[in-house]
Amino acid sequence: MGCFEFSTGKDPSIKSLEAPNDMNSVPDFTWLRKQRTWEKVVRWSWPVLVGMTVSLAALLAVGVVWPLKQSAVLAIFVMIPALWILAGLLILGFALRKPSDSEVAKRADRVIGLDDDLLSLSEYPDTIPSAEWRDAAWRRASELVAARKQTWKVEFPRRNIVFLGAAVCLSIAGVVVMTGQWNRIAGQKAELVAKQAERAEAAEEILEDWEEFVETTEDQELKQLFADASALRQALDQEDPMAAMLAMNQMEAKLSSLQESLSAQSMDAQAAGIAEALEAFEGMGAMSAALRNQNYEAAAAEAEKLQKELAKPGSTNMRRKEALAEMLANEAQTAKSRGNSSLSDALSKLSETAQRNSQKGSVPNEELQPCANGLCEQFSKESTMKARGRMAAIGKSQLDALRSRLRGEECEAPPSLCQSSGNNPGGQQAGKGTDGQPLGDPTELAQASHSEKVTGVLGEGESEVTVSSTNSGTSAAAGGATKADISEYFDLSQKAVADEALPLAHRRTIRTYFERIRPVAETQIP
Amino acid sequence: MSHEDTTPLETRLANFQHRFGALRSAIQTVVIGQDETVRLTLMAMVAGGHVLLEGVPGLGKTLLVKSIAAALHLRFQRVQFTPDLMPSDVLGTTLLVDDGHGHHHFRFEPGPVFANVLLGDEINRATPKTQSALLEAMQEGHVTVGGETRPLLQPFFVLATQNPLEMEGTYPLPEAQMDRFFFQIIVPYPTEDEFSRILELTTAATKPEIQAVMTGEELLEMRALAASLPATETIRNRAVRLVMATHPDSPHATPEIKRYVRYGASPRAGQACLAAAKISAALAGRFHVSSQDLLSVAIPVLRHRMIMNFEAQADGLNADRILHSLLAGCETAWAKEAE
Repeated sequence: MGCFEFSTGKDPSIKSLEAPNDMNSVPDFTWLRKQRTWEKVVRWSWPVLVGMTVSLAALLAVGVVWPLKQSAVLAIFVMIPALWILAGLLILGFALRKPSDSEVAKRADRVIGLDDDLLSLSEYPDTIPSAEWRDAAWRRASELVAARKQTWKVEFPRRNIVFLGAAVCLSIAGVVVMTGQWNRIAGQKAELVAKQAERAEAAEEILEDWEEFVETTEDQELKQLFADASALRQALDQEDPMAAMLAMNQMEAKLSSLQESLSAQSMDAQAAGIAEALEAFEGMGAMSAALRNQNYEAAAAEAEKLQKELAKPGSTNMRRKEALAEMLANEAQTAKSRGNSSLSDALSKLSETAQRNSQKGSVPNEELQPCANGLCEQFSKESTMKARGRMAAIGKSQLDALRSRLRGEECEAPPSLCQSSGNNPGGQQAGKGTDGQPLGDPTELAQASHSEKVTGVLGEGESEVTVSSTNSGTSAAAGGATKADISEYFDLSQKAVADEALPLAHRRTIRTYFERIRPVAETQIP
Repeated sequence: MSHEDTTPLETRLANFQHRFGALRSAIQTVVIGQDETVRLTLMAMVAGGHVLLEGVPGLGKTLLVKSIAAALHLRFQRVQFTPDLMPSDVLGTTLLVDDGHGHHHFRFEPGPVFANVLLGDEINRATPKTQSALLEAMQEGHVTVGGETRPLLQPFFVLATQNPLEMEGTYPLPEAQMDRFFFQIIVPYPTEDEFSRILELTTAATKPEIQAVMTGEELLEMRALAASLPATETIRNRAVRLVMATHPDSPHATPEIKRYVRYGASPRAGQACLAAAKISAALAGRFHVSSQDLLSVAIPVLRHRMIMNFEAQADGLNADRILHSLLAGCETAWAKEAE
C-alpha cells in the first residue's frame, strides 16, 4: 500500500511516495485525509466562531438593554450553552465527515502544486485497468513529490483564537447579566406577591369591619345593607373580579339611595332658622347654638336638660315676642312643605304657645314642656339620621378603597365603620376633638439648663440671687451625649414607622402617634 | 505501437516527445515563427484530425502545409478551391477509356483527395456542393464515386485554409463540415523579428530544404500511444462540462454564452478536446490527462463549433472572447473544488 508522509511541523519536507504492490488497490490517503479533515475543521470553525460570537453579543445586548421577562431570561440561559453545543456539533460534523479520495487528491494536488497527479492516481483503479500506465504514473508522482519541498501545513489562525476568546468572555458576561436579570425578576415577583397579599389583607379588613358592624349595630336598615357584603366576600373568595365589581356596584347603589333619602328628610336647611327662633326663649341658648352648628345630638341633649328644668314650676321669658310666633309658624310651614310633618307639628305647637303668651312675655313651664319634648324627639331623630348618613358615606368610601385595591392601585386607608359608629369607644365623636393634640401632647425634654445671677459684693451684706431655668432645655439638650441619644431615637422611630407592617385600618393613626411622640427638639438638631 | 512492445512506457513517451520535437524543428527550418500554429497543426495530425487554418494571405499557410507533408515524407496534393470547382475535381472521376483494341472500359481517375496530406486552399471559395464532397473523406477516410467506395491513403489529413477578409463571392462552410475540422487555427501576423527572418530566408539565393524526419507509420504509432493515454473520470466529466457549457440552454453556460451563442459545440468537440488533451499530456511527459491539458486545447477545438447569434456580431464579439471567459470560469470552478 502506497503512502504519503507529510509534515505539518516546521520541517516541511515530503518524505516519500511508494507505489502499491497491488495495482488494483486504492492508494492510501490516510495522512492526506487527516490533513484535509483538520483543514476543514479549521476553515469552518471561523464562520462558526464568528456566528457564535455575534449571537452571544446580540443576546448580551438584549440582556443589558432591555428588562426581560422570566421566560426570555430562561431562554437565553438555555441558548448560551445551546450555542456552544451547536458550534461543537458543527465542527465535530466537519471533523467526523470522511472526505472522499477524490476530494483529498484534488486538494493535495493544489497544495503541493501537482497537475492532477494524485487525482488521477486516486481514480486509476476504476478507470484504467492497465497496470503499465498506473505504474508509470506512480513512478512519476513519486519523483515529483520527492522533488517538491512543500508541505500541507494547517494552522489554527490567530483570528479564530481571538473569536474563541471573545465567545468565552461573552458567554461568561451573558451568564452574569442573565443572573442579574433573574434576580431582578424574582425580586419583582416577591414584591408583587407581597402587594397582592397586602391588598387581600386590606380587603379582608374592610369586610371584617362590615361584618363586625353588622353584628353590633342596632340599625336594622344598615344591618341589612352591609349584610349584603357576604355576596362580595363570596365573589372575592372565588377570585371572580366581575362578580365582585357587580356586588360592589349594587351595594354602592343602595348606599347612594339611602344617602339621598336621608338628605331629603334632613332639617339642615332649616337648622339656622329654627335656631334663631329658639334663641328668643330664655334657657334655650345652648340648644339653639348646638342646632345652629347642626349638632343634633348636642341639641337633643340640651333639649333633655331643658325638659328637666321645665318640669319645675315657673315660667320662661321670651324675647322678640311679636315676631317669634310668626317665625316659628313659618318654619313649621317650611317643614310641612318639605314633608317633615312631625317637625312641622312640634314647631306649630311651639308657635301657638308663643302666640298665646305673647302679651305676657313669658311662657309657663308646663305649657312649654310638651313643645320641648317634641323638639327633643325631632333632634334625636335627626341625630340618628345623620349617623346613618355618615355610615353610608363611610361604606361608600370603603367600597372605593376596595375597588382601588382590587385594581392594584394604592389608596389611603378608609375610616372604619365600627370605629365611627356610636356603639364603640370613640363613638360618633371620634376625631372631632379640638382641644390640644388628639393623640396627646409631644413629649418635652427634661430641663437641662440652670443659671444663677448674683448681685452685690462678696462678703458684704445680703445679696440678690436670681435663678433662671430654661423650660425646654433644647439648646443644652442638643449638645453632647443627649444629642446622640436624640438622633438615635429619631432614627429608630423613623425606621420603625417605615419598616413595621402596620394594620391597614390603623396605619395612619399609629404612624401619626409615633411621629407625635418624637422629641420636639428633633427639628432643631443641626 | 504494437501490443508486443516491451519498451518501458517512459521511453515510449520520451520517443513521442522526441519525434514531435524533431518534426516541429524540421518544419520550423522553413516556417519562421508561427510556433503555436505549427504545434497545434502537428497535434491535430497526430490525433488524426483535420485543420482549418484561417488567416490573411501571405502568412505562410500553404507553406506550412507543404512543409508538413515534406517532413513526414507523405504524398501531398493541393486543390485551389474556386467557385467553378466541381466535386469530381476533388474526388476523381470515372473515364471511358479505349484500350486501342476497340474495347472500351471505365477507369477511375483519382482526384487530389487520394493523398496523405490534402491542402484545400481557400476552401470557402468553392460551392457548398464541392465543399460537401470532402465530408465523407474527412470523416470516414474513404470516398464513394460511381457507386464504388474507395479507401483513402492513411494517414489522411485535410489542411484547409480560408481568408477572413474577402468575403465577397465566398461560401461560408456549413456547420456540418466545420464540425469535421479537429482544430480551427487562427494564423497570426508574424512579429517584427520573425518578419525580418522571413525576408532574409526567402530572398536569399539558396532556400533551405526540408528533410523528411518521420514516416507515416511512425505518425500512426504516435497516434496510438497518445490514444492509449488514460483520462480519468473527473477529467472526462470536466471535458463534458466544458463542451456542455457552450450551449446557451445548459445550466453550466455563462451569461455571455446564454446571450451571444445560438448553438453550442457538438459531442464531436468533446472527443476532439479529449484527444487533443491526451497529446498535450503526452508532450508534457505525463501519464494522465490533466485539467490544464483540456484548457490548453479548448479554444482551437471549440471556436469553430460555436455558432454566434446576431447580437454577438452586432456587439463585435467573437467566439474566442466568449471562450476565454468560459475557460476562466471553468478554471476558477475547478480550483474551487480543491478548496
